[in-house]
Amino acid sequence: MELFAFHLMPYPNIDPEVREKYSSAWVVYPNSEYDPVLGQSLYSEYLDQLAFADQIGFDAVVVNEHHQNAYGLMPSPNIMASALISRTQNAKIAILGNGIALRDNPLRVAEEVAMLDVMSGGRVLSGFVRGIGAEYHSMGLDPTRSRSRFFEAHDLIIKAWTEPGPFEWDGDNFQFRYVNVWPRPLQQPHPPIFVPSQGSSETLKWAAQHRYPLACTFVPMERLKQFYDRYRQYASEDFGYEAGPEKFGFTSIVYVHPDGEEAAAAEIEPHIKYFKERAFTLPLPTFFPPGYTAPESYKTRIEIARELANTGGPTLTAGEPLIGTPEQVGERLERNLAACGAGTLMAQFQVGDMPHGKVMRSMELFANEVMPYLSRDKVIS
Amino acid sequence: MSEIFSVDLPSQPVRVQHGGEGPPLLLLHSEANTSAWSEFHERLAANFEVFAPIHPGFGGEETPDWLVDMSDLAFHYKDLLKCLELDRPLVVGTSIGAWIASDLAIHFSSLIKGMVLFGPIGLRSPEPLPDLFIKQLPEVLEYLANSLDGSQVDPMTGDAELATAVWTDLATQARLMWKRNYDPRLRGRAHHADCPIMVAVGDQDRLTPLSYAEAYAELFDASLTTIAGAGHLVPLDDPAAAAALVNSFYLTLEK
Repeated sequence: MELFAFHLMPYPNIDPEVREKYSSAWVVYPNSEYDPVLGQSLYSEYLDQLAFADQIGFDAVVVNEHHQNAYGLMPSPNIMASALISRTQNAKIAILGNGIALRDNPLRVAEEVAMLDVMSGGRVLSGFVRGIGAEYHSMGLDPTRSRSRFFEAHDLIIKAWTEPGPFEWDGDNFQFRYVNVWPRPLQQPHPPIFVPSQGSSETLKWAAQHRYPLACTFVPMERLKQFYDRYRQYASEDFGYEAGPEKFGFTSIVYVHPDGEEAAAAEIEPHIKYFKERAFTLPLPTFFPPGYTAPESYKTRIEIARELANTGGPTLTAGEPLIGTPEQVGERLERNLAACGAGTLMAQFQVGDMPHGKVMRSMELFANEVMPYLSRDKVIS
Repeated sequence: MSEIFSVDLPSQPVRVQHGGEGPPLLLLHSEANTSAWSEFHERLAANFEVFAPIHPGFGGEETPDWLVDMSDLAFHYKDLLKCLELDRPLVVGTSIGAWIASDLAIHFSSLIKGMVLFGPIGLRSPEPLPDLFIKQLPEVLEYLANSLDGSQVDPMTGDAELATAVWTDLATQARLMWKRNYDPRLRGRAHHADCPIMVAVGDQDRLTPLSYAEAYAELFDASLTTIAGAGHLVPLDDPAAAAALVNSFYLTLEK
């Protein structure tokens, strides 16, 4: 299995009284609520947590891109990746991912990721995302062009990395007389591509076609199984290969506590509550603005929204909760991966407003009392 | 009573609702799943032969790739006029339909007899207008008309099909209005709309203030009428008054 350390870098001081006045901590929650002095120490602690994941032998550290919100303070994942290069030795730096459809010039992503790959000695995993609906509100971008921009930006970046420049690009969304990206990436033909996905058929098929691993965030186990089965089916029926565990990864919250499940749950519950209620809430028009998906997918979204309303909000744990003693967490972790045929767990140790000390204690326990007993065969070359 | 027929245009096939007898009238519908034949259509059909096409990307259809901006729809409707052999029809548009009508008149005013614009949009406003794209669907309907029932399209508790229909209409509107809910060229081009024009707005319009309608009327050298008790989509809120207004406007053209 592969262990990735997943982080959102949330803002932990969302004032409930202020938050109450807004529909969400995204897009409209005023940035006057951000305290940059606190922000500096947060970045420092969060980077320390990811650096520690490298020291204890995680295969990768994960950063991601979200804009204008208190949910995650990484509008530029590449800046975070750059900061992590000098703080880590062995771990891959997984950018999951760059919002390539959000850039008016996707070649900036080709350049930045190539720089990171060269600077890190080839340690970059490069995820590409469309960006969730909220980003289209925040970036002033027409969501009806999102799918078209994503696919074209992907084709452009891959070509920029793999074919000699200069060449001309004349697409529906992007036009360049000269594509000639310096530097080129160190990994050949290019850094491995990952696709964070919410499971739309179009994305699953496209990822299967390109043999890109799926990285699923906050997807419950039942849906993970569906997504992975569909991917495996596309792979074998349409593209002639068998998709193994190396193609599948997902997030789960992890919290290890020496005194058992009840004590662990009691300690993490307030942070989960903070995360769900204050940071994560996305009204449907913010999450899925008009035209962001096909009408059929929107109807599915309505169903999911109704399900979530009945089950108390988004699932932060896929499968059995990784909250408990080291033995419980280790056993469940392996069972969860096996249950859906995934090879990679993206473990989220820091949740919502969980303070640094608590995160580090849980990570230490995980390092000392869980990791030595896990089967750690590499699944991603 | 009406029939629906389909016409193949160079852009794409278009569905046209058709009814009534009299001088030709092209009716350009408003947003948020409000294109269906209604009391307003019925009342117009008493005096006109009404042609009410469904805009591309509305009425449940996904936003077409070829649609880039409003002028694409002006050319689309120019083709429709030719195809249906409509001789200088009266053009009536509501909200986004009024914007389309304005653009049609700017490009091809010799092809139309006159225009009635209910709650027109498309002009740059000195004050920001509400952002319908970030609002919950019931609230969108409340902004548009008093007579629409927002609770029906609540995604959590309403009719999922209806909610999706409104959302799908909004998607095409997003293609046209996401970055700017107006056309910056309208101000410099309005004088090309060389035909009699009437602007009519409800005095309970929540989407655009009266000053916005006044600016629109002034720019297009149009008369301005206010209808008491109606919201932004006047023909939905007060079909009788809206149809009467169209009739009386048409009589002034005949003089």
